[in-house]
Amino acid sequence: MLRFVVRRFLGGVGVLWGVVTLVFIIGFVIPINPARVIAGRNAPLSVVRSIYRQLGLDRPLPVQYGEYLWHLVHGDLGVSYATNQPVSQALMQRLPYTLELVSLSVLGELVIGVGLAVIAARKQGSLGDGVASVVAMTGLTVPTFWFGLVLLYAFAYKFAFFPLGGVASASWVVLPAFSLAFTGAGFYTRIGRSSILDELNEDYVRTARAKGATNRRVLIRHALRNALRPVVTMAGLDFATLMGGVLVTEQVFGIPGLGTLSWTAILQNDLPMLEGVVIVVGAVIVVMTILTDVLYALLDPRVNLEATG
Amino acid sequence: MPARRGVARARRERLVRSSREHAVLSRPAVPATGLAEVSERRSGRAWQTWRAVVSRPSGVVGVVVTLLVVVVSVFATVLAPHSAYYQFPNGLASDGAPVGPSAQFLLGTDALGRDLLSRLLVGIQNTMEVAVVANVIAAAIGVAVGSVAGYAGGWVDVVLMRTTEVLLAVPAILLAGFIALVTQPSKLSLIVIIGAVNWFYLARIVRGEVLVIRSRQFVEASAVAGARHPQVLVRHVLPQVWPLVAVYTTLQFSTTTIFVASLSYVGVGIQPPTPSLGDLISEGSTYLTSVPRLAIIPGIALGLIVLGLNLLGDALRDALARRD
Repeated sequence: MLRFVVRRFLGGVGVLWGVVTLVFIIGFVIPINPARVIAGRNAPLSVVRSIYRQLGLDRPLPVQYGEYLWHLVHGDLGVSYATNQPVSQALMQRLPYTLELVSLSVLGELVIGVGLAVIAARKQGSLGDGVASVVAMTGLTVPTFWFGLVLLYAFAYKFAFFPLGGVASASWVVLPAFSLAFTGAGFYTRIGRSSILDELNEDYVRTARAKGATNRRVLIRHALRNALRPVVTMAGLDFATLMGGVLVTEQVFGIPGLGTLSWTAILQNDLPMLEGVVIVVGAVIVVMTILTDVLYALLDPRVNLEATG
Repeated sequence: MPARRGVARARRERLVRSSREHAVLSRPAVPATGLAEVSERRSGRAWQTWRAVVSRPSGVVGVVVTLLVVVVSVFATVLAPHSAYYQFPNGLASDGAPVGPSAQFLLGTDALGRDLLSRLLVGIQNTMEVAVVANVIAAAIGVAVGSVAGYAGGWVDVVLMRTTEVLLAVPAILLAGFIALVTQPSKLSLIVIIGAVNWFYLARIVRGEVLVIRSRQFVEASAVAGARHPQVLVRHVLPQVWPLVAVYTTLQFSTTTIFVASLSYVGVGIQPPTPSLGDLISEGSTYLTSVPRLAIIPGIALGLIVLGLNLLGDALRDALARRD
C-alpha cells in the first residue's frame, strides 16, 4: 500500500511539474512585456529596459527556467503586477474558500449522484427509476452558473434562507455547493445506475440471494461496493471540470476564492497572479486525483497495487 | 531493439497464416471487402443508426431541438422581430425600468430598452457559431493526436499522452484566461481558445480505440499488402473510429456550449454589446432581484439547447452500442 501511494505521489509530482512548465512556456510566449506593465504605459524606454534587466529577463531561457523552478519550490510565485502583493500570500488568503467549496461539492455530488443511482437501480422501470433519471438529466442540462443564479433568486432573495452572496455568514457555502453538486450529480447517477445493474447480474449476487440475504442487503452490502469503482474513476477524471465550475460559481456568489481572484487578474493584466492560480489549482487537482486512486484501491482489493502506477 | 523486431516477426508470421486462410493477398491492396460493398454497407449503417435514433421519443426530441437550434442559428437575423442593438425609446418605462412582455416585445426589453427576444435569437446564433467551429477544431485535433498516439505507440504515445495528462490537470477556463490576457476576446479568439483546450478527452478516447483496431488483422493485412503508415491510418483505421467520434463530439457539443456561455459570463468571452447567451445571463444577473426574467429566460434557452444536444448524443450512443 505504501509503495503504491508513493508511486502515485511521484506521478502526481510529475504532472505538477508539467503544469508548472506549461505555465512557464505560456508566460514566455505570451506577448506581454512584464517590464512595460510594471513601469506603466508612459514610462521612458530606458526605465523599461532597466526593469527588464532587474527582472532577469535578458538572461538565457534555461537560466530563467531554473530560477523560476528554484523560486517555486521555495514558495515564491512572484509579485502581483496590480497590487505589488506577493502572489503566494494572495493565494493563501483565497485558497480556504475555494477548498471548502470544492470539498463540499464533491461530497454532495457523490451523495446525490450515488443516492439517486441506488434509488433508480433498486427497481428498474419503477417510478423511482423514472424520477431519478429525470433529475439526473436535469442536472446534466442546467448550466451550473445559471442554476446558481436561480438558487440565489429563490432561496436568498424570495425566501431569505441564505445570504445573497458573499461569505459573511457561516451558511455561505450551502447554495454554491448545492448548485455544483446538483449539476454534477447527474453524471454519477447514470454511471452508478448502469454499474449497479451490471453488478446485480453477477454470480456473487445470486449466491448472496441464495443464502437468504434481503434485497436491501444485497444491494447495499454486496453490489454497491463493487459498483462504486467506475463512479470513483469518473470522479478522478472529473476534477478539472469541477474546479472550472467552482471558479465560475465563485463569481456568481461573490466568493473571494481563487476564481474571483483569477477573473480580476485577467481584467488587470496581472500575469503572475493568473499563473499562480493555475499552479495552485493544478496542485489541488493532482492531490484530489491521488486521493481518488488510493480510495479506488481501498474499495477494490483486487486492484493490483504493484502493477498500477 | 530485438524485442520489437521479435514482435514484428511474430506479427508477420501470423499475417501470413491469416492471409493463407482468407486469401487476402491474392487480391493485392484491396482488403477483405470490395469498395462497392463497403459503401453500400456504410449507407445501410447510417440508415440503421437514424432509425434507431428516432425510434424512441427522447431521440426525436433531441433531433427536433437540434434542428430548431440549427434553424435559429442560421436565420437568427431574419427571425428576429427587431434589431438586437436598437434601444427603443418606448423600451423603457418612465422610471427607467425595462418593460415586460407585450405584443411589440414578446419577451419584454432589457435594461437598455433593447428587444430581449431579438437579442436572444442573435445571442444563440453567436454562441452556436463559436461552439460549432470550436468543437470541430477540437475534434480534429483530438482525432489527430489520439490516432497518431495510438497507432505509432512507443515514445510518441508516451509524450502525447503525458501532455494530455498535464493539460487535463488545468481547468480549461483558466487556460482560456491566458489568451484573454493578451487580446480583446473576439469570436475568432474564442474559437481558437476553445478549440485549443477541448481536445484532451477525445484524444484519449480515440487513442484507446485505435489501440484496439490496430491489433486487428485487416490492419496488418493492409500493411503487408504494401500500404504505408499514413495510408493505413487514414484509409483503414480512422473509418472505424468515426462512429465513436460522432457520438463523443455530439455529447461534447453541449459541454462546449455551456463553456462558451461561462466564458462570456466571467467576462472573457464574446464582448458586449454583441449578444451571446452567457453575456445575456451575465447582464441579466445584475438585475436578478428586480427583473429576474432577464437572466432566467436566456438560461432556459441555453438549458433547452443543451438538453436537445444531450438527448441526441445519448440516442446516437445507444444506437451505435446496440449495433456493436
